Amino acid sequence: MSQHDHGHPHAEIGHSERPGYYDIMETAVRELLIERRLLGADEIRRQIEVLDSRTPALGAKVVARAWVDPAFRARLLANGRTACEELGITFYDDTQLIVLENTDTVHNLIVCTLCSCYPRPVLGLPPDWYKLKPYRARAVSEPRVVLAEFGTHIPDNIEVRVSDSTAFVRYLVLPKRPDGTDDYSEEQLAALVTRDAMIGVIPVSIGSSQ
Amino acid sequence: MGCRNGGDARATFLAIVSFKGERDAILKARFEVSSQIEKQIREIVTATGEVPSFGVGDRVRVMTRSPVGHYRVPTYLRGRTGVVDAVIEPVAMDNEEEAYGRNAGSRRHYYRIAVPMTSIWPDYAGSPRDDLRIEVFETWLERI
Amino acid sequence: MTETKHLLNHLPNDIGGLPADPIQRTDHELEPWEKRCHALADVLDFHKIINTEEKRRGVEALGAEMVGKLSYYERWIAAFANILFQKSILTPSELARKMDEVAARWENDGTERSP
Repeated sequence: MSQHDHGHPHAEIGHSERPGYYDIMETAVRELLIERRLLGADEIRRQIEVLDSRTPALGAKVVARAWVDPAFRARLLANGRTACEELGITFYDDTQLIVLENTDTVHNLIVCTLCSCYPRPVLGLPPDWYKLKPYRARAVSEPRVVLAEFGTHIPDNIEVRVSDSTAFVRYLVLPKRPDGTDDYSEEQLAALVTRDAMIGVIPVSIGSSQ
Repeated sequence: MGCRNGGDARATFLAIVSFKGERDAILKARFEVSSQIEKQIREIVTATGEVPSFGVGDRVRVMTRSPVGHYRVPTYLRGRTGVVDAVIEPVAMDNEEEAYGRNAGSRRHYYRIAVPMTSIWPDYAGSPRDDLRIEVFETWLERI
Repeated sequence: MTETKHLLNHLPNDIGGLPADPIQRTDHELEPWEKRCHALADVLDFHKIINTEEKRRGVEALGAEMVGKLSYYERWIAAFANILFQKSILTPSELARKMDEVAARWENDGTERSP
């Protein structure tokens, strides 16, 4: 392998597999735009770091804080984005966040039927199933059947409320705090909160973990 | 968001993200709707779209037009009636226009509306309490 | 002929309420190019070269066949190419030549130039 003088380090070296057609297209588009000075060479790499730093652990911290701090919880329900920003979770885009509280009378579920809107700044990237037709088509028309496929059964006297994102608001479900966690620390609570619980397809239980 | 000046009290409280009941609570707790303020409000003319056309609790109907091209109101929602659950702030671009490269221009409000599942799906098999929440741009809604 | 109007006024992604299969809880680790593609989308939006809504429309405009056959990020990069052509930022020949150059570079030295 020859030494290159690129002025920037390689992110990956020595692919044994030939890059695919779309991989090549992405590289070509990016390089052309950088050559035209429409993008800076560093910007994509920086944004990859931003994306890598966003995982469900962030959302879990928000949920755990809301469980232990009623004043934070109130602020979170009033404005999800600014409450997350209090914890240092910046929003790198123009989206707003509405946090949906699961209660004894309402169970929330989030979906984007038209595409794949998802609270990425606080949860990271969505799972494949969230972006595919079965979930997107059916979560909005038969949510209880969808929940049952995840093993979740909500009694009929509790409202299942489905939020379909279509504009610049994103959603995060604030699950119910499980019983038997009164003496848990905030970190122990956060460790129970999964991505799927914050989408609303499963509850948080003592047995669950990230 | 936030207070612009003392005489703008009504416009200011409308500028706070308002959930059911919260707008009234804020009004009661924070603002004195004095005759002096009322007089000032009548002298202000607001720009198109600046003040929301609909408020929390309003019954609205989603219009039934079928655009060619980009749209963000799913077919399943067309013609349905619901109740405004929240006025989304700030005002924002119509995403139908934004999709064709407009990054600025006349902005209006989006509204999060609540629609019962049984009124969307004829054979809805879940609980009659179940409902849908969805954001809709102002120009897709009419008051009923 | 109005029997075809639904092809125009009904988008391929407008699927809420349609019948569909049981959910398969698939997930995959993003390939490096997919992550770069996602980062590219974000950066294009920051600059408003292609805003997020334009991207959505660009994917829809690929049409039902491509939407059905291309994977998630394949749809994005295809949409970006088309939009950049429409905005006269790139031409098809420029992109084709650059893609050939990138492919040839790989053939020559076996490394992938990445950020």
